[in-house]
Amino acid sequence: MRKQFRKIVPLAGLVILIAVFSLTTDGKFTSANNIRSIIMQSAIVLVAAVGTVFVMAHNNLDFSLGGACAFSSVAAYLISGGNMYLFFILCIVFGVLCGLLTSLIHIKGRVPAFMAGMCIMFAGRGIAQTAVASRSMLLVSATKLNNLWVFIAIIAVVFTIGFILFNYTKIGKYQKLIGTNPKAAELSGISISKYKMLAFIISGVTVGIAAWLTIIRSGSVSANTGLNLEIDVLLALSLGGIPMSGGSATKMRSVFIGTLIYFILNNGLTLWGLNANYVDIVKAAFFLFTVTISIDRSQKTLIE
Amino acid sequence: MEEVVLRAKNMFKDFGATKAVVDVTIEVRKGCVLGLVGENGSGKSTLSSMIAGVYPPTKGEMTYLGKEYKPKSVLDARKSGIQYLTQEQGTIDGMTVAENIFLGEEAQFSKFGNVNMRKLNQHAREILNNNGLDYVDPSKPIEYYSFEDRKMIETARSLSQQPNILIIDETTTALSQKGRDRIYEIIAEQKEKGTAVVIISHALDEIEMLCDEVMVLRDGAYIDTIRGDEINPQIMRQKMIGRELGGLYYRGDVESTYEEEVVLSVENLSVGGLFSGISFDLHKGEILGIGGLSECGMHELLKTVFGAIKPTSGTVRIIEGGIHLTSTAVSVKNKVAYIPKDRDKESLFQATSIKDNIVAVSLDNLKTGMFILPKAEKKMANEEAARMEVKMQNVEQLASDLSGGNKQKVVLAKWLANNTKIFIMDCPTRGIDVGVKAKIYKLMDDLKHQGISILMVSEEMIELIGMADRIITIKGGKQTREFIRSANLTEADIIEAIV
Amino acid sequence: MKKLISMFLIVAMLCTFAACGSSADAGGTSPSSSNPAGDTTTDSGTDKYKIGMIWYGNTDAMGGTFYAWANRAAEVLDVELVWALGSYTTADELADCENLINAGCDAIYFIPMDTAANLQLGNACQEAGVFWAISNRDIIDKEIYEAVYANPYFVTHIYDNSYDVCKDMVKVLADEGYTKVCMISGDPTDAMMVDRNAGFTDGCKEYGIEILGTFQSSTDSAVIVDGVSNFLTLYPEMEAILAVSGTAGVGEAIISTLEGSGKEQGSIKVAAFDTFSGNEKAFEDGWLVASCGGYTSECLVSFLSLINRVKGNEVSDSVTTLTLAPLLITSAEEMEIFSQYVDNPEVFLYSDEVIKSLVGPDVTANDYQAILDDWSIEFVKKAVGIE
Repeated sequence: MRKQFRKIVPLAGLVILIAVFSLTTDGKFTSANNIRSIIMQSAIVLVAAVGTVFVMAHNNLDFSLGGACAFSSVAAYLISGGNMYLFFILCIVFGVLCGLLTSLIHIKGRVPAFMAGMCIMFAGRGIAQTAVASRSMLLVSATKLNNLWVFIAIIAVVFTIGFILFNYTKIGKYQKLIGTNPKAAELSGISISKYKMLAFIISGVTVGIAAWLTIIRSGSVSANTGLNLEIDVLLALSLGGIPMSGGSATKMRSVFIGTLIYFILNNGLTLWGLNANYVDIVKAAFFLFTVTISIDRSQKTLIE
Repeated sequence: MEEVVLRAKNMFKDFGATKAVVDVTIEVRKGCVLGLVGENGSGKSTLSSMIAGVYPPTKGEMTYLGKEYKPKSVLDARKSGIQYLTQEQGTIDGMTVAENIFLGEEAQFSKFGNVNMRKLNQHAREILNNNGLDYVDPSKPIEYYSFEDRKMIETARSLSQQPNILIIDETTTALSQKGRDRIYEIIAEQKEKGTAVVIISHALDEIEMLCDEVMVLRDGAYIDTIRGDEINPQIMRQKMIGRELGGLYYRGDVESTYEEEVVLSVENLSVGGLFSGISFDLHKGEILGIGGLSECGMHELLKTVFGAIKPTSGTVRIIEGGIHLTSTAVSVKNKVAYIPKDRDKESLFQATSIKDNIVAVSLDNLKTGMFILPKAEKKMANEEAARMEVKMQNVEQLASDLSGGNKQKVVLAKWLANNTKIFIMDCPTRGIDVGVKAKIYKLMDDLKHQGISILMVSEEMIELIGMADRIITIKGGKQTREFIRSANLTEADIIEAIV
Repeated sequence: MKKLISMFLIVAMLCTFAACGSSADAGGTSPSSSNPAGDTTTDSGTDKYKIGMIWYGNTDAMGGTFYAWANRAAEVLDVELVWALGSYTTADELADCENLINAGCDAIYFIPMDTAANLQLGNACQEAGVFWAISNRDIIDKEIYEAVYANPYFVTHIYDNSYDVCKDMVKVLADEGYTKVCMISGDPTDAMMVDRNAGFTDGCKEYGIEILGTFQSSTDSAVIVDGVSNFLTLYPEMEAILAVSGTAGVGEAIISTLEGSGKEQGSIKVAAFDTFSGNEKAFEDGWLVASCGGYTSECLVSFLSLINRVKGNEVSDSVTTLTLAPLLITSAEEMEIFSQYVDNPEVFLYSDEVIKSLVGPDVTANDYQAILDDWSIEFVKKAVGIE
């Protein structure tokens, strides 16, 4: 009973939020422009979260996202010189590079993954800040892609591919098994290093795409590009009910539900004109509440 | 007949819709060792739990030392003189040995709420010494000690306040031979002192050795009480299951039968500090048993053969194709299976569906193009689960919900699904009740006749003698002897080679 | 049981949110409870005008001060403010802008954290037909400048004139007779810094001061400490240090390095842009001879001009462009006045009357520039009633 309740809390939260905001904003929430805003605002986190799910499923946290985003944007910008297609591909290439580095530090260096991620995060942000300090990195042509259909297309493609990989291939299934019981996974013939690395690579791909989207929204690469991306993704996934230690209960739908909750909450509170001083408190309370209910403590107890 | 210390009359216990104990009456006598046997779900643990104060009966009365007995908790029962030892960890992390020994009874050492640690440790020291645990330091945190030591400390605690009744519930299963022997000693000592002992165990030979009287339960109800000479494993098994075991329990034949062809060859295998220079060949259709004491290195040996531990020297080779087993992935790819001793921690994905457990190693075989379709997974899972007769609601059920025996069936199903040619099994019937055990033995026999090879480690001598074509013994990490299957082989023979 | 309690809590919490949203807060009325369902009046019809405020935060001195000033002004002028706090990147500012527009704002005020923000937010505003104004940043990229200035909804652009202040700071040193200085320069891609760099170098040229050495400033205090130490070692004849920025720990780092260098107190002079903690003591000890700061007036004027436009008064048919020179501080007394009265959320340097006088059909761009030109320590003293 409790398990089923826990599973529906995120979705229930989303539904309630939508209902509440729809009813109390005189139609502003449900206007076409607003829905469009929400989709475009949530795209970056949504895309990055798809890849992060793979990493979280095998019981790791990827803290490199922000730095990887910054680094990928900078590197891609410098090399592509403004060609949007090349920029896109390079963002992904460098994103994958960051993912590979993080996983190598973690696996070969035997450093806990979250620490490895943070190293990349600091390194990436440092490199980005230095690079940005010496030249301006405007990419005005990118802003021409700042429209709803491009974003919907990207979201759809990324989520669909992510969903299929996660649920219908070894890559995704093994992540869940490794997260549930790494020892049993190894003894079932699963190469833990190989699959962990694959998860980080996938996360790298999505962070590259997220970097690309960020530049489209921002029109430039700055020292703050991707700031707090890893925290936003983690929050969004938590709101979506993703189990903290991964495992078989990890679901791709947490990406959608959680990201939407996060951005709808942000959007709705602004529409309300809630006193600015309360906004953070309300957000924090909502997060705390949803996450506490969703955490599956039963997974923590040892058997017997 | 000795004096009755405790009588539990017409006991009933319901858990929701499950009737765990149905109208059972039990008498525990002074200086008597009473065995409680039955398959999983027979109610034996539930019954003893009620006596030990874990929970109250749904119906029924207990009289203890002539008075009405209604314990409010285990602590309460303990204070009255009824001590309860179980299979799980009974000591608490985060406290010292001494604190654990006097858990709940610190009052006797405290003034105004402050516990006098010196006195506590002193008294703990005494208790430890009295129980052969001189090497244990009462001031050390309990986590410092191994599972077995902790169990011994727990036992010492139970004995420190001379109990009237000592209940031992499957405690010996998780212990080494040394630990088990110590428990047997304790039982003998307590019996001498007049303590009433109740022992619950799946190891029927243990029961045969220790008990004066054995009560058999099945499906929550009382079946029979056997005494004296009647106490032997065969009769006990019969009563537990309620039917003749088709004559066979282990293998029917008494000869070693296997083909000439060698399928797996282990040469000079060593892992520093654990075992060294192990060599043997596994033949097609052979059941090769490995026996030894718990810490002789044989468990790690199996893991190394499977590729989970890197050897410091030596090779493990599959003859067909000359492939070296260097990692678990390679082994699985070459149709080698490994069934770990610790089912819950090492072979099962607990919070995962039975289906996902069963298909876990066979994903490559299930692919349609690039993807694995849920329909194919379900089909395979249903087929294999049916083949093994897993008792479950459906394949989507979580594996953690199953009983020990069914969990092992799922593990076997997993490897069978992959068309395994070589099985490496570590204590495959550990902690499983008789009915399922019999099924597993039959399965092993069937596999053998299909030409599948089995490498098996077991801590039960009888199991090895009953099932293996050959038995290799390990002592202190080194190979000692090899025994061929024969009707004259006895436990004593093997034990000689392993201690 | 637990399920029931949890459901109840969720509902209760959401009711409190709704209540928070409905309760009157500074400058805000309830978004919907005043309009019963079915009422077709839009917010910009008979209701108050709504101004969207994208602001970085209200917990620090400048942030808190403008927050207080703007809310007060909104009350006085009878407009409603909707705040979106905490954004530091263009993507976040854009999200805030979109949400504010969707909330029905008639105008958006913001500080562009990055040059591209002007373009992105400007476009969003133009699409929605909403006016916008900025302050505290110049636009150095030509392409963006042209695009943005062609945006018909762009009302006002106010930015720091740091150039003159920097020259004035150099003059302070020159008046004392110093001729040899070292400079901590600013990021040449940052609009703010370009002016300051130029102000310093031109000032030195004009007043005959030699710049012995330079290094680029950084928010990493270790860089500052190393740099200043290098100055002391390489240029023993150095008499003063010019610094384009004192915030984010830079000022503190400069002073502490000097103090720890063993040199006599006050033997090396510092002229640093922006205030920092320990300013007063630094002045008293003789290290610091010139500081400057105080930009909140820019924010206020830009904001007021935006309200003016929203109310239908067109001050100019193109973008109103104005500049503010921050206050120059040259003594411990002036520093004290600054600390106490400038960027203090409880001190309203501009009275309600002054605010009212800046919104109306007769107001011109010159009126706004006059306010900005008036900005000085004397003005502050007069505003709070000293001497």
